[in-house]
Amino acid sequence: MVVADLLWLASLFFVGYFALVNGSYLFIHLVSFVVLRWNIRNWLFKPTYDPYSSPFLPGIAIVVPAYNEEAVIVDSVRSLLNIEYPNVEVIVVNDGSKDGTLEAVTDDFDLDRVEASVPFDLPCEAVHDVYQSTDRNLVVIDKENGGKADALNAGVFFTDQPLFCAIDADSMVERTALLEVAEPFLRHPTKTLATGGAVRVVNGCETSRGVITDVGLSKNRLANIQVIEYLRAFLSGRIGLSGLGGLLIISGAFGLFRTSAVREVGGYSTETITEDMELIVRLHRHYADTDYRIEFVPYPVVWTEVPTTRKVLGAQRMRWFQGLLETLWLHRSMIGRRKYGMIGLFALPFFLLVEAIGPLIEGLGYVIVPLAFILGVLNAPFFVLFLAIAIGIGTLLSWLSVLNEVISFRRYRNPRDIAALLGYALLEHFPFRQWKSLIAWIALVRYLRGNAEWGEMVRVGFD
Amino acid sequence: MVSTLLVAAVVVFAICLLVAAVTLFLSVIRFWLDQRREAIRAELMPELFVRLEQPDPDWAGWYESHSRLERYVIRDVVSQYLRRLRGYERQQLLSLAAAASIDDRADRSLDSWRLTRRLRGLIWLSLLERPVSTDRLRTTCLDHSTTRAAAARLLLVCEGETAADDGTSLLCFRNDERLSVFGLDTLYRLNRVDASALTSKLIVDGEWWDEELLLQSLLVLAHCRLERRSDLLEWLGELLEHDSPQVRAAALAAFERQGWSQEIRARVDVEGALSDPDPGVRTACYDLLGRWGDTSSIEWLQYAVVTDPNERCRLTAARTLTKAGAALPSAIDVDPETEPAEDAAAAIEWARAEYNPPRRAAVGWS
Repeated sequence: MVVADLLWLASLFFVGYFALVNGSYLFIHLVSFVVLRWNIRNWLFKPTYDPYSSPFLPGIAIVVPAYNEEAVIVDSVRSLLNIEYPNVEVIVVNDGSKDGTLEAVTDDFDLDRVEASVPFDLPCEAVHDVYQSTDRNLVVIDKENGGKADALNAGVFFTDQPLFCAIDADSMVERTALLEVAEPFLRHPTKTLATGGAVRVVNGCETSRGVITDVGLSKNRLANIQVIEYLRAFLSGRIGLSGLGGLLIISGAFGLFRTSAVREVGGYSTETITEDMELIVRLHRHYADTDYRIEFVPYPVVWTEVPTTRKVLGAQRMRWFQGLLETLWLHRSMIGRRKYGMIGLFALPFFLLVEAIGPLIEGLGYVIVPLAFILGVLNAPFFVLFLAIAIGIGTLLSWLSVLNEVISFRRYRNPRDIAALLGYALLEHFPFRQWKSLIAWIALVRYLRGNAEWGEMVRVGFD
Repeated sequence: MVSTLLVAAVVVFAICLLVAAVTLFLSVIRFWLDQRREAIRAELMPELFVRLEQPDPDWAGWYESHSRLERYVIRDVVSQYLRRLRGYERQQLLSLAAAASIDDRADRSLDSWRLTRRLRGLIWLSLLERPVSTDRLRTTCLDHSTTRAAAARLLLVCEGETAADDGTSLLCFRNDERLSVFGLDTLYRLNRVDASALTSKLIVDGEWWDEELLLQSLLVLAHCRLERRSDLLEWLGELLEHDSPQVRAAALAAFERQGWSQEIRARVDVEGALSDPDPGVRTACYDLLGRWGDTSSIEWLQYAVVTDPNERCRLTAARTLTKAGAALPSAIDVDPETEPAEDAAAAIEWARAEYNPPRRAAVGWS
């Protein structure tokens, strides 16, 4: 009897918890719809002027950390040099690659070694050489291996440009993306510290020399589930959070930062697993007493390859989850503090309760509630309600993201792709979400044990 | 209780299905429309270009002979090519727009209560370069920053006598509202050749402007031709003492392009700027000295290479000298007792060795 009562109470708790979590997400999604409507006005101006001819656009350094990227680095750099922006400097940081990354870039772009030492300290592992192009805005810093954050720091502290854009070597930035992501810096020249663009899944898309020529879905189901996940969490979710002033993550694959602000907080942390999130939280912390802005800009896109096997995806998600726990723990004193405004009172508590603890509680819920139903503790209508709230509203969120895609972004245009995405949204909430809960539990154990291995991203390459 | 739970679950599932159905329906409709528009476009374009060459293309008849969707595509093509084409072909497109009543509809839409409709109307009027009186623009467009910017653009493209003054007033209507990229570009183009409209406003109201709007205006001013008004130069000179280092740097940038005039150069306290505590201001000063490029400026730069306490600023000074084709101070010029000799020598060595110094666009932004 006692066990039955406990199961009943636990089930009630899980239903309430799922309602709270999915309700919060639903609220954020509805905010994203409103924000997107506002953005449309700026798009109307496009036919009347050429923004690239404005002479006062700030210079941007694109920092590309590269470790064993021989296969993709030349195409990636070529695509970056062709980006539509009047003043771009590309800085490739060869992070002690063991393959021919350095030779590939220096040979293909005919770079020469600068016969002098960098005249100021770069807070990173030892720099061997710097290579420059005589006719392109391209620099290669060749340094000892120190990890992605360390490589980013080399570029951030080397460049002379007021803004820098951090991207991954294997990602493809859309040609017009840089101006769009820089727009908040022009509108708020003293306040904007960082902006982030959308990250989308390149698997299944056709590409040519670093440019997406046709957007489509992959033949791999896991990749397509991630398409939905990216639309829901990394696009609609971030638009909503940014609209509420609570953006905590700008993806490492595509973010634009005020160089001086990042230098002031000491650059990227080489001690944390997810240096991109940690940097944003640190910026929020450092500039809390000032009038500053960190924004998400939904239209500019970077395309990135996602894992196609459960093993690699699992390793990636464990790393993300451990990074989230680590960052929240590192900045725990900000949680619930009025001093940090929306970040302290809403964003961090939301991330703690929903993103960090959420998957763990969800995992238990997926076990206990069905168990209670099987044991006859719960009646059928209650169990159906649980499914409606846990899986139904979750699916609704994903479908709303697809609706956002159809109404606003329109990268996926073919109704077949849209129908497939609606189907994959179901898979995202059953069984993908349950699998992620399991991964979260494993990551928690690993985190508590102090095990923070990266796992290796196996890249198939672009089609 | 049981039925309530079931009803709640059914409602959730019903909403889900509704969203999925709407999404799928919209995607089919939009895809079909896209396909149709593309097909129509491919069909119409050759015909349109042939007619552009004809002396009497009978646009009204031709436009009326098409379906609703085809007319939409024609309007879309007109909007796209109005910006690209000039001369006779543009005149022909304007005739087509008139035959399609695009101009009249755009004009009427200014009276709409809907912001987006007014905005679309203003954009069409700008593409058509059809003038609208400033009074009417003030009556219909003052309520929102986007319509004010679009109205200023319309004044710019129509090139009326008072376009610069009226357009600048519209853009800077509120002293606490920053400009969008579109607004900034419009402000620049209104003031590029003669910045008196912006400078007059700055001298009178600039003191009360939001710091970001002030900074945006200074960034624009740095690329415009200024008149030699003593009150303007005095006002700019005072900004070199502003609390914000970004404003101080941007004020220096505004002086930079005007360096051909000795009178203007005399207004800049170079020594004061070089001893500014903010590296960004000193860097802006080095840019200014490099642009001026006279003997005195070069000497200041050579001095800065060996004395500036910031390693990046020293490098900027050294790079500026290299770019100006001036001699870099040699290592013997560096006094090892008083200056950070090694650091200065490293900056000099790097400036000499690098192949392609970065083209900076940093003033006011960092």
